[in-house]
This record gives sequence, structure tokens and C-alpha cells, in this order.
Amino acid sequence: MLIDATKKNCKGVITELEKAMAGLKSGDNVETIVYGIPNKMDVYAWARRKGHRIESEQRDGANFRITVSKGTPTS
Amino acid sequence: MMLMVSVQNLAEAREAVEGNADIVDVKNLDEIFIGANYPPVIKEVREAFPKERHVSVTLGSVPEAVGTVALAVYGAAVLKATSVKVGFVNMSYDTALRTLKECKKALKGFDTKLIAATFADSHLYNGIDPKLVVKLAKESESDGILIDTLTKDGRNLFDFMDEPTLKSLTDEAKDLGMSTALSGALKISNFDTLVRINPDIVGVRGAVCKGEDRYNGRVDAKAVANVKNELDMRVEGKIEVFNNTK
Repeated sequence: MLIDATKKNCKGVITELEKAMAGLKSGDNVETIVYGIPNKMDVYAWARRKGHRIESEQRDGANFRITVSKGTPTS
Repeated sequence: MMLMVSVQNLAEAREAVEGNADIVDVKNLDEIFIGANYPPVIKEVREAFPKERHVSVTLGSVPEAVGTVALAVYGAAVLKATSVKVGFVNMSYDTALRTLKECKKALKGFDTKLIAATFADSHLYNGIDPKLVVKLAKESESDGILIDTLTKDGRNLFDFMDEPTLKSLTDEAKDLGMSTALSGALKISNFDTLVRINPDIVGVRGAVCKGEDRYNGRVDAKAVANVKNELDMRVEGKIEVFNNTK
């Protein structure tokens, strides 16, 4: 699954990632492309908070393609 | 990160759009604290730009009159505002929540989004704790949050709330699927901190007015373009604001 979050929107990439993860099982991956370093940082921080793992990151100018693996629910 | 510029009329809205603002926010600085502008002004601004250009409406700090506020929100929706911001100062949490719930009902069937707003300097006016904004928005099923300031004496958002607090509130709201906006006499010198917090929307007025005078100055396209560029350079990493980017 790929979420292209490079288009500007009032609700950012985290909302889209939350939605995507809800339909996945532990170990499944979701890819996202985000614009700008703050959004990339948000994805990393969100993954830490939620127990997901960053699998890879590729930079293309100001865009970052990040693969996140869904973690195991802790509760 | 989207740049929102507060405007008082169509001429200022045109300057904001020429400077590439993502959102024009129509408000009325003549009313106590901040108030709503007149429906013909909002209508004129909305109709001047395509639907893709966000035109938001600020109601400012609303009175303790639930039905009246809900009707004002309904008016913003009829005028096709992208969003309408409802702010609270001297009001109990329960009344603020009831107000937002009625506003949400009033927006049923419209595309207009409901934004719950509190003020970082609310304590100076014996007002509601600004940190309750996420709880308020969540319980009322609002679409987003805004934290602004009322004091316009040179102090700004960061004189009243620190970076970790604002970051925490912003992250919490994002996790709940809400849009997040920060405003309050923000200047370019605040942009490093703002970009680290990363709200979806940054609101300015004084910083894009001639002479940086939010009341007597007028929104200037060149100043808007400059502010937008300063923001984008930080977002794109051309100006480094993070110590560690992992």
C-alpha cells in the first residue's frame, strides 16, 4: 500500500497512516511519500509512539519515501 | 505545512493569494479581541477564488450563547467557508463543549469543517485552559484545533506555551485525525520552533502586514511571499532546524 501525502492538506500524513494501519496486521508494510523534513520526523515519531518500525527511507529532493512495518499491539 | 493569512477584506485576500498563501482567514479586528467579519465580506472573498483555495472564517472568542454561535457557524457554512473557527475564553468547559456539539450539528450536510480554538494566554482573561483544546475537539467531534493568542502587545504564542507542550498537543490531535493550527503574533524568528512542532497550518497576520502592524498595516503580497519562502526553506531542509533528523 502506498500513501502519497505530498499534496498539501489540512489533515496531514498521520491521519492517512492511522487509517491505513487499521486495516493491516502485524508485520505488514505501508509506504508513504511525504513532503519535507518535519513530516518525515512526524512519521518517525508516530511510529515510535505506536510501536511500528521504520523499514527504509529514500530521499528525492524534499520528498521522503518511507516504509513502515506495523508493530504488534501492546494492549 | 500550510500558510494561513488573516485578512479583513477582499483587497487583503488578493494580496495574500498573490503572495501564495494556502489559506485566507477572514476575520474582523475591530470587534473585541477578535470577531467575525460581515457576511457580505466573507461572501465576496469566497466568491473571488476557486473552491480549491481555502477560505476560512474566524468567529473569534464566542459569547456564552450556544444557539447564536451555532447559527453563526451555519452562516459560515452557507457562505461556503472551508472551515469555521470557534474560540473560547470566559466559558466553562461544559458550555464550550455544548457549543461545539451544537455547531457540529449545524454543519451537518455541509463541507465546512469545524475548528475548536483556545488561546494560549487565556489565563490573563480568567479563561479556559488552552490545553483542553484537544479534549474539547475530540469530545465534540470537531475536525481540527487551533491555538491562538488574544494579547497583541508584542508577546506571542511562545511567551505563553512552550515548544514541548505545543508539540505534545499537536501530535495528540494528529493521532486523532484532526487538523492542527498554531497562530498568535508569529514571526519569522519563530519559524525554527514552529517547523519542529509541525502543525498542519501556521497562521500569521502582523508578519505579513506593511510595517508588521497587524491593525494599521495592510497585508502585503511581497511580505506574504517572503514569509512563505522562509517557511518552505525550513520544511525542505534548506535551513536546518532539527539537531537530529531520525
